[in-house]
Amino acid sequence: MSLRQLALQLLLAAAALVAINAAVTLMARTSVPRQLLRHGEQSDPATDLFLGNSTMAAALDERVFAVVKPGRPLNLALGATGPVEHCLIWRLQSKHRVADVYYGFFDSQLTDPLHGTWETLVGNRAMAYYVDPDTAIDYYARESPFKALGMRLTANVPVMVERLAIWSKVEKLRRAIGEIGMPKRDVNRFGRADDFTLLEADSKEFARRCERAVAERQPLSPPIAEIIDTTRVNGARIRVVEMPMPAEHRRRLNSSHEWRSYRNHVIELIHNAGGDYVDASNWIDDVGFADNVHLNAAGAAQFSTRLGKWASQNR
Amino acid sequence: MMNRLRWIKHLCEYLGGAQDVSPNSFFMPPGSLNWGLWWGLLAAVIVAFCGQSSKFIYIDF
Amino acid sequence: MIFNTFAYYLLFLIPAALLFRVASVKVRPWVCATFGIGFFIYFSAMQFGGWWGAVCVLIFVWESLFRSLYKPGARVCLIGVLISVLVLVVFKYWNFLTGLPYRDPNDNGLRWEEAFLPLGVSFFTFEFIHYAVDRYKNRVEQGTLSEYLAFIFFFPTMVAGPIKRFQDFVPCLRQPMVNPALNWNRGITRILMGLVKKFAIADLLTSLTDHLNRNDIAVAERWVLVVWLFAYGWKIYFDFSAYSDIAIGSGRLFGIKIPENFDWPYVRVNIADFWRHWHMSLYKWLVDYVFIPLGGSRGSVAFVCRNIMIVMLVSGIWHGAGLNFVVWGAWHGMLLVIHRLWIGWRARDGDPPTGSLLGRVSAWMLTYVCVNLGWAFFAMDLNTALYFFRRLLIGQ
Repeated sequence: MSLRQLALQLLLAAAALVAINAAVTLMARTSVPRQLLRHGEQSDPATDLFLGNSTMAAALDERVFAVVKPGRPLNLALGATGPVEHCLIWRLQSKHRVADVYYGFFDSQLTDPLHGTWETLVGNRAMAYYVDPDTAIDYYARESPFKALGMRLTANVPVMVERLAIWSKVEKLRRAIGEIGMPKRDVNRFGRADDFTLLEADSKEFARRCERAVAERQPLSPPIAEIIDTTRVNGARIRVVEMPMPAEHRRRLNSSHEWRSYRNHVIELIHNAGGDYVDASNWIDDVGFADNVHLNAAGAAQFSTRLGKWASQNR
Repeated sequence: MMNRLRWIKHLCEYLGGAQDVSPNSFFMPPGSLNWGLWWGLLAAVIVAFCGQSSKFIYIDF
Repeated sequence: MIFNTFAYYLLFLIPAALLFRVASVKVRPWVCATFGIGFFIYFSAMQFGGWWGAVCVLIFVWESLFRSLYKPGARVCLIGVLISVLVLVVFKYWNFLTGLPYRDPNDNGLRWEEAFLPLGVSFFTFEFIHYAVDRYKNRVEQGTLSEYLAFIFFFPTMVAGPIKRFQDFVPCLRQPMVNPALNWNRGITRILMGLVKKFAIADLLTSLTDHLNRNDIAVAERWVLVVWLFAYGWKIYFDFSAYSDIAIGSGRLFGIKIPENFDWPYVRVNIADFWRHWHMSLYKWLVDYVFIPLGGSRGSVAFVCRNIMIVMLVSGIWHGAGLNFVVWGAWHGMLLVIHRLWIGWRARDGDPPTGSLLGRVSAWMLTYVCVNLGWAFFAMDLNTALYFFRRLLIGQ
């Protein structure tokens, strides 16, 4: 066997890897973020637009909302995403620009620093690589040309971009295998219900974070500020909604004076920016929750009704 | 049947890189370009399955 | 795991193998040694003890200097063996041995709180011992310092074997590579197949074997406990044989032949044959450096059985610092003793070895089941393993 044959074999393997990337590109056309964006593009111009992460995705029932506040509500919230991704979704929705915007959050998400690294821009957050990479790089890698270069290079390798979407299929297979012969665990569309307790912050660390945000007078996260400003400029109203949380969560994290100071701080920021603040944190009893952070169908109906009524009364 | 099993064993070892000589009537010598495709396929499987040490909470991707 | 990192391939394997290919015969051992030292320091700092782990590279430096005193028949070789055993005992078994008198490990006043294992300690100490004993018995030449450094620092086998022999390794350093293209073809194939076995099979099986803990055993349906146990047997096979494949494939890129470690062990029809095909480099090491020095098969039946039990207890303890590993070793020792007695009894009776298909299938099933029953003590601590069998057999 000759070195030339080996070189050709390696070349063919490299070509196979390119073909794999092409296959991933094809399969990724039905990824969740792309489906959401297509849904947005294909929908009629909305009168009420909902943005945020999975808390809003689970909580807003468009049909129920439309009964209470007639119009065309459109829920474009996306799970496992952050403010930059919400801003990217918002930027693409040119036909919905005149809609009232409802931005859902919980805890300190309005002022948390933006973290976009190789490890964190995965899954739905990988949309930063392909929806509007220039904007994403501007938010995540403004200070670091090296990081910006890394993001641009990664954006050209579909397997790297979509790796968590690929791995999540295997994870679902693992979970299915692991559940054989075991008591059934509560599962919802976002995952296993008890896994979401892992998102719970350490209460002392959370209080420190709130205290620091107030002491440093941290501004709103830039992409959120952009959403608020652009909505105002378009002549629409922006409502920042503190999403419903279970009683235990509110007791552990939202009953401290650090949190109350923090909330006053962000309310002031939102009002100064021309937005409204909606405190929906205690709107739903625990029975309306599917897990630690997400509403179930009944809770979503209740939330949507109440938010619709609030919106109707506060035009 | 034992010969068939031995042939399959030899084939598995050859495709896995443990044998240098291919089994009888399996024409894919070490110099064959098909090894490039085989490596590409193995690499695809590795890429698909190598994320199992990732911590998943949210799973709807 | 080290073999699934980009650093292993991009910083170490590919540059080292390419450099090895173009280096002269004199320089080749230094290529292995240099990259091996870098490998040990890098991955120790990252994963195995931090900078204290990296400092353990001095163990190798000491060994490479001390071994120059080894001469055939010289007692200093035995001192070298003792030092290697001491290194292994201190790092691996200190907390276990000093904690034996106590129920609660926190009551152990001699407990080493920040204990860590130097990278590959179980394997490099066994290679040190092999060299010392074989020098004592004049079974191996001394070799140059660079050749010995290349041997002990050969990084593909540093983490999890196979356990090499100096007399097999050195000729590969000295001889020119034959057909590098074929070596690279086989090496790449072997490495990729190892990674597939690790990720696509072994890691997938952990979705079952992760349940082998007290809480899950308590709530699972009883029939699935059997599935978990056999899944563990397959997981450990694919996991360990994958590491060996990657190590052997990596060696192939250098043109260095690394001994095979697994040869279809689960198709063997008796326990002795299983052990001749499972972790073969360890089995051969135990035979050469424990079984034969104890007297081997020369002696009465009781004497030979004693030797077998000691070897398997050593094997068990080597695998892990815990009573469960001792039980695992004892289990296999007992199986080997029973097998030996059975063979002896059949031979005395004049019965020919059974060749019928039914006989071979039965023998295979018995071997397979007995090996997998033993895995319970490998996978779980002693109390949990006993609880597992209680739950499986009587439901509580």
